[in-house]
Amino acid sequence: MLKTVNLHKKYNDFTALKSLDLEVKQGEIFALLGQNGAGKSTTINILLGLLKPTSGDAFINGISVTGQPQEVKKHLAYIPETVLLYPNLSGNENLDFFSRIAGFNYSQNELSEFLNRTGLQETAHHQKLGGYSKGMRQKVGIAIALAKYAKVLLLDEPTSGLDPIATADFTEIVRQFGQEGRTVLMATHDIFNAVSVATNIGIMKQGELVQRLPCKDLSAEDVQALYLKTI
Amino acid sequence: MTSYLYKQFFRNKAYLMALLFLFLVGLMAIYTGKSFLDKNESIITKSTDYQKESIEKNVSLHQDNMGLLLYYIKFNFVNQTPRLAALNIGMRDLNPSIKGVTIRNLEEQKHNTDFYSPANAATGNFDFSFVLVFLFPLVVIVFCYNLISEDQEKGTWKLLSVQSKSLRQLIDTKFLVRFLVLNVVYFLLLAIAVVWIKIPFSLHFLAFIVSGWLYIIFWFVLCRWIISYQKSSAQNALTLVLFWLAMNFIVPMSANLLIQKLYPVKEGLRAQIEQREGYHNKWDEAKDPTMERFYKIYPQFSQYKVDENASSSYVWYYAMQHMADMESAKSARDYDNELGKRNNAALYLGYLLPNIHTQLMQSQISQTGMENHLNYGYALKKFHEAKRLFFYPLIFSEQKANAVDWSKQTVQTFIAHQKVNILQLLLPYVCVIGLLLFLSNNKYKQLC
Repeated sequence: MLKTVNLHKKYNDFTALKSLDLEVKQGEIFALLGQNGAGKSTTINILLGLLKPTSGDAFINGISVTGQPQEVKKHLAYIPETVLLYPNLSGNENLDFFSRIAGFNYSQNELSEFLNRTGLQETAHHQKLGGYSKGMRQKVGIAIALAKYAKVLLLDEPTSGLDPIATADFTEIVRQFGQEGRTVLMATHDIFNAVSVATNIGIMKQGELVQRLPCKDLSAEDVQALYLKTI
Repeated sequence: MTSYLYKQFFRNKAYLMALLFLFLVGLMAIYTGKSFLDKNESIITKSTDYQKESIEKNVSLHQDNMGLLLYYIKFNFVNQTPRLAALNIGMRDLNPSIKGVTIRNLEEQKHNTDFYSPANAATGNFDFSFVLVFLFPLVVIVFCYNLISEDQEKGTWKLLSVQSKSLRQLIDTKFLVRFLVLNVVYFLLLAIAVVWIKIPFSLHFLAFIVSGWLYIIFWFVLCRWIISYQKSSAQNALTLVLFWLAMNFIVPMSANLLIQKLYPVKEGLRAQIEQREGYHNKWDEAKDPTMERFYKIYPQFSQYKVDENASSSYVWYYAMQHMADMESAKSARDYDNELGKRNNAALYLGYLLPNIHTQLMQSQISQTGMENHLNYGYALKKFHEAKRLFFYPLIFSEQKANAVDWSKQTVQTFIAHQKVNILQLLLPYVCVIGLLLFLSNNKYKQLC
């Protein structure tokens, strides 16, 4: 479903990605761990078509990111570390707007349903986003991803700055994504959250994927120990 | 999607303030134009009465002396001011729309300004064309400088990029929303002008509207090109304001200096001096050479002889006045030619710069530009010549004032038949807009 082949990215003399070969299958939730500058966000930005790789290619649902970036975007949804939306529109309006530019035209009931699924209080649906907390904005971001029915979901530090309850809510939704057969690639620093939600974990160091292991029989402490040892 | 782009636009108070500002300033400009037109009409109306009164007064004072009577009587010649001139006052504040001339030498009178003080023009014309050429672009810049960079700086760009089926279409729709909103202000102001100033709908007015509309499109397309480089908001704003400054001030000022150097107009002063010396010197010269040259030009008056020793003779006096014009004729012609060349140079520059093109074309269409001024000057010369040829035989044969039906000596009007050259009007806009669209489209392809 998601595949990178010999993906390489250089910024002048700095190598951000070194021959990254990564495959995430359908229904799999893959957590990318690594320090700042390890290449996690670069990988996500290349998959989003926002960065061009120096060499190599990536494929979403078999479609080349470099060859058909616009086609690839149809299959992708993205939730950044901080979901930034339009403050002069309400949560409902933001969801409707971002759905419409993706080609989806939902009724008011459907929009409310998406927002309810993320746990956003109904009273907040029609309030301007300017008054939202980070967690509430994150929920609208999730609703946008839900409404796109994308096969692949890219998450860049999605729980950063969220309170424990919001993090737990979010983790539950990501798990549901996986159960629905969607592929999730999640860049994160949060080892405990990664272990609780991911099916596989990869550890990146200086642009390389140095570890790849299933989460099934691992505890957060095991992963933490491995992580510290690796980096 | 578009409805949300409208919502976002109208929920931005700064945009609404800019629109309101533009609308109010536009209204003020229309009011200025209306006041100009009213003042102009009032002067022309009064001049009709004044000419009648003046003739009656002078006829009663000098009824036995046609030569002396025509020394004083001024005949007014109006340069018809179209209603459209209220939207583009152009040079009409400096060049009056009415001239009162006696049948004496014309060159001096051509440059006299009886009815207007040029000081009135010192503050410049705050007319609709000014608002269109100078202020509309500023509002376009305010609306568009950050259409991409705002999302990039606020962090919504990534999400837009992933969600949008076509970023190019999204950005162009944002442009379209702003363009349509600005169109509402533009056409609303024009509609108000039509009702308030009573501008008749004609090909000229349509050409005026289209030129302004294309000029607004030019600024949108320029913004589209500049922001396609995806620089920061500050950089985009600075670049666009520099374009505005360069196009409206730096290039025209430099070009003006260059044009003045290339086409120096010294002939105006020369013509004045020549005609003045022409008739002043003749007081001290023998009359015969003057008369011989006069008879050569107008053999029909050769029967009116002048005694060289006569203390005064109106035949000689008017011949001498006439010859002053003849002696300065070449300089006067050169003066007009040089002014024409300057105007042409500005027109050529306008083919590259839409702001200059808009100003010149709208002045041309409104009959307030240099071309109209020169044509009015030629018509005034013909008018003056016709008056001379009518009165010379009456003066020379020493007729009394009652030999003339003075009621027929009314104010006459020059009506310019300004043709609209559609190709000349549209082609520069189309070329520049097309070029900018081509350049920006190349950049937009990279956006997906």
